[in-house]
Amino acid sequence: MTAPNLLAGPQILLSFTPEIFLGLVGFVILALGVFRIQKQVMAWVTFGSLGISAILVYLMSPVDHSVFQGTFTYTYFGIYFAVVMILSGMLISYPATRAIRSRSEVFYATLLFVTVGMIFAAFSYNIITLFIAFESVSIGTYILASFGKTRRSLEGTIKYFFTGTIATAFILFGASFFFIDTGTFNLSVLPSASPTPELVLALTFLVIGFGFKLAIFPMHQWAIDTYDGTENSISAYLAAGSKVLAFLVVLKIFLVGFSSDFRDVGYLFVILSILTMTYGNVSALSQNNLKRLLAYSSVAQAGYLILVLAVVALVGNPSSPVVGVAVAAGMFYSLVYIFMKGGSFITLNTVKKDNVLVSDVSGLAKKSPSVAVSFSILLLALAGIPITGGFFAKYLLFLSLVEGNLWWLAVIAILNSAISVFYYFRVILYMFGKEASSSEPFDLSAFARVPVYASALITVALSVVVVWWPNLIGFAGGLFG
Amino acid sequence: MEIMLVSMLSLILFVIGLYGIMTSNVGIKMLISLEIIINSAILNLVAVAVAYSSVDPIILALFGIAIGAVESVVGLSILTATYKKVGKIAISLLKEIRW
Repeated sequence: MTAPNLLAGPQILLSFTPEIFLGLVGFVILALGVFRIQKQVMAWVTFGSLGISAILVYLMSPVDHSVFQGTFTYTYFGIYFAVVMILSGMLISYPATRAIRSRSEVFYATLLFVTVGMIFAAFSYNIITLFIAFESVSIGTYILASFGKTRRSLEGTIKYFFTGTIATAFILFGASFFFIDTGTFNLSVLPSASPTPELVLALTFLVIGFGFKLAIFPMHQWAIDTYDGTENSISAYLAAGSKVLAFLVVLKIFLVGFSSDFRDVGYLFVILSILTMTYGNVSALSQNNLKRLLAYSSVAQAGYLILVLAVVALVGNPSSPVVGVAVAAGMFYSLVYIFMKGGSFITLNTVKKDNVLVSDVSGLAKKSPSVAVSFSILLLALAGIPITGGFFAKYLLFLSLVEGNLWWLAVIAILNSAISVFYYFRVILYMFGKEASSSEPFDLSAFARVPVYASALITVALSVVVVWWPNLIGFAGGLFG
Repeated sequence: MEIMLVSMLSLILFVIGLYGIMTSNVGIKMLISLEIIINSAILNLVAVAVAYSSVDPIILALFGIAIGAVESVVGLSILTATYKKVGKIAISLLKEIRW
């Protein structure tokens, strides 16, 4: 928590290189739309420029420096999350070609602009810039969600749009009450103070506002319908990239901004995470619609992510080692989460139907064993079974709970992942045990298969990345600026 | 304290807007209610700025106005797409997503 150095002059412009680059490429893609270029070419251009921007984020970010009086603070924590969110965009950029009928340039330019917002959000430590970055991502994803062929996707988009904009108003309200209490929009670790009524109001409004985007328990219903209605790759982006962004913003606002009354925030998040986990897992048990099953499971995953906030807030002291472990667990979890959740939504591209039921994947193992095995790996990772990255993510998360002396919360979380094993295994049983219902139910072109293989491979490979765990703990301190 | 009065007013506007969104079936009416909600939050921000004589909330309010405008543009275009598909802007006609 050293005071970051301020940058001046042209160095400020250089630190924004990835954002400027992505914005320029976005406009170029929009202009290219005039020439009716194939959507596959657009997809590869987007993929490549996102990859370049990930490298630029790593190379051009002046670590441990800040610009504009600490509004943007560059830390390895921010770089990590920026790269994770760029990866989620890269994951869907090619599979999304299935969702696009016309005007592919609008889709890919919007995807790039959304990523610009995500990179800004990763580094900003001020409610004004966080709000703008968050909203640019939200508005972009409303447009992305509307790229679909059916009435269902339109319905999902309308539900997403109206709940999202109500959440915006809640966030604005919460920000104004936050200002009444603290007198600033800058997020920095404050000395302890007794909570005032304004701060409680701010807390309530901000939890509701960001809870909508994170899809935690009382504010989750839009997510189920939207993930169900929109195209598979866009559901993957909403469930992976957009949710990780919401998690990052929530970490910053509630752990850095509300640091003065850590404990009260902690109890709130304990309750929310228990409700979210249990509700998501129990509702997924009775689902016959595979997309809704995955949507409910992503609600449950949001519950696991909030455990990080609960343990950090209840431990209280930002410099204690448990906080580092918990935040690092959250960082690792969100990296694995992008591939296991995004990958399993993208796997549904192999089924030709729009409305995928659990019985629609039956017989997949006969037609294409490799896709079935990859999908099983992704589902096992979501359930937290060993040899996948998902196991280590859950293990580290629960380890931080135990270290923070919250073993009872760890027990509840483990019971929840035990429940989740049932419905993931039901899908696997359908794939391997049953015969296909119709003659040509699957689309097994390379276009549908390769993203599935890639995400399954990365999910397994991430369990090796765990050897860099001490580095992650080192990065985690960057959360507090 | 005046700030409390303005906050009360904006909270009342907020509830009116929420009520409008929850009860109406017509898309345009829902968009107008949405504008009421966002403007109530902006009103509160401006009141805070005046009461604490700081420009920071006004900056956020300006960006809030811009974002509200963009949101209504996106909302209108989504409703136009609805009109093309369904023939009406009645939200209740969209009920294909079932569990």
